[in-house]
Amino acid sequence: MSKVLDPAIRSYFFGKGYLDLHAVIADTWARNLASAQKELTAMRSLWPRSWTGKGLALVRGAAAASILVFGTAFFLVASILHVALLLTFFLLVYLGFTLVYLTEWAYLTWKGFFPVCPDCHSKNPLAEYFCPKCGNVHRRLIPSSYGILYRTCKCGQKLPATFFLQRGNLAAACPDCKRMLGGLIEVRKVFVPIFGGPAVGKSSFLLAVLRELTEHWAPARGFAVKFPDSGVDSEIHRAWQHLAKGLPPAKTVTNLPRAINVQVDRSGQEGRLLYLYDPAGEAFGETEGLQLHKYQNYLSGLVFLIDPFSIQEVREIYADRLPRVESALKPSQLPAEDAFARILIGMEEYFGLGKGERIKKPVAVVINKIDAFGLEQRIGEPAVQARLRSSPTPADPAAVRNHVVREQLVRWGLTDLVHQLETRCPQVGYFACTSLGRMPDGTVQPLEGRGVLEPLLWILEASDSMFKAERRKQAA
Amino acid sequence: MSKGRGCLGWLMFWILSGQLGCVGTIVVLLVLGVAAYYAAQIAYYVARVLLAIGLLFGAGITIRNYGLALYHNIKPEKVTP
Repeated sequence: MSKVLDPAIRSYFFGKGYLDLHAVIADTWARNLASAQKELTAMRSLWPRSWTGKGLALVRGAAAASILVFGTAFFLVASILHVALLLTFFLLVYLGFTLVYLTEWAYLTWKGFFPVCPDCHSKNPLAEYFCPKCGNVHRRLIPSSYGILYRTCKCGQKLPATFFLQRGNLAAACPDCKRMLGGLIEVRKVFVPIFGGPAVGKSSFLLAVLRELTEHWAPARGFAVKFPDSGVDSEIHRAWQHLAKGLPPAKTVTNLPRAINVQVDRSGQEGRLLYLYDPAGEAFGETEGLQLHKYQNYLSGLVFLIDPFSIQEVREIYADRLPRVESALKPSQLPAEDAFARILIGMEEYFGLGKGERIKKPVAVVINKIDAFGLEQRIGEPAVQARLRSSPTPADPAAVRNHVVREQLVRWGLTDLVHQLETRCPQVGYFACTSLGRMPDGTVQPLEGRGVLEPLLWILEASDSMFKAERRKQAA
Repeated sequence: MSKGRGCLGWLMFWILSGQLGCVGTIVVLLVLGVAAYYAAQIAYYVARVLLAIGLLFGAGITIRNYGLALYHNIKPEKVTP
């Protein structure tokens, strides 16, 4: 099953056993010949002596004949039994590891567990695992001829060979880029990239989502949120501290940023690893940059952020006031239609999405920066509440929010975008949020997002059973 | 039996019968014949027993050789501590 040579001891019945068999046959034959020779020599020396000597010579001669005849027959039969024994165990071990491997494969496929590198974003069926004792790399740590449930590293360390025995607790690296993977390699993963043109506020949105998730959503439901990658936790807390002091997050500079791994689990329940992915705006501005964003191959949903001030209509409406706050507001220069077109082009060119084919994942269209110029009153939560109050019949708040935001996009002249979105994406949700809560104006008042978590939760509930169950529980 | 040996036999019979009489001679010869028969039987069985011992001895050596070959050659792969 595996052609990769790992630094481990192969099962006795898959290699060493046959070498040993050959050695036993050769050794037995040599010993028998030597013994027969010895008996014949003894017979020759005893025969010319007395009658007793002749008797003993008879014994030795018979022994020599017995060794040659019976010995050959015996070692032939014994060798056949030896081979049969080896082959029986070979088949048993082969059957054993095949069964365990297939069970593991089916379980992991069913659960959607697979390692994804947060650095190069490649998805592999298996990570490269490190021996905790000697650091040797085991490239195919699966039930195999090295062992059904466990294998022994060349250093003597016993390693679990299957997911069912906590293989995921071993240190592991990406097979492609060799970057160390953080914890929870073998858990269900949810991939949510956050797309949008440069300066739409993706980093602020991501930080606000993480804060909302960590400080409000998770504690209220008994979940714990952790950032398994080393250093990320402190980076995020530092960014939150900056936001608390009224400082906006530093601009994302790298063209290929790492996804932020967020571990969400609750005791007694299988956890999840969220990959919240913030591609840098500059890379997104060029469709070529998209080829690096391999997560699109297996995303669970997609957040498409729109900066309302990248829309010509909005810029014209606020043309008199916009220049005064332009440095704080930092309007994105890439129109939303172009940004969406680039997502489609990238997916068509690099990820096999056919021309005109639909993206079969939930797409949350989120208008950001609604804190500016009172937009929140028009499309944010106050607008939704007002619409609900004025509705003659009880309405679904989510449907009302969807309607309010969609309607506003159409009013701003993005009819084509809305049409394209709804044509190419069967599941579209419209949202409005402010990632910072206010415009950064140099004051120390905290920057706190509003309405940021709803788009993510909508995607999670649509793509993952745990979040769906949580929503049902809340609704009940 | 050759002519010479037949003559020798009659000569022995004639000498013995002179000493023991005819009946005595016949008895002695019968006793000698029976003794020779049993001596041959004993020799035959002794040889068979010796041969059997030899064969068993050889079989034992063979089994010992196979055991030693197994003992010296069947070893799981060792790991470097």
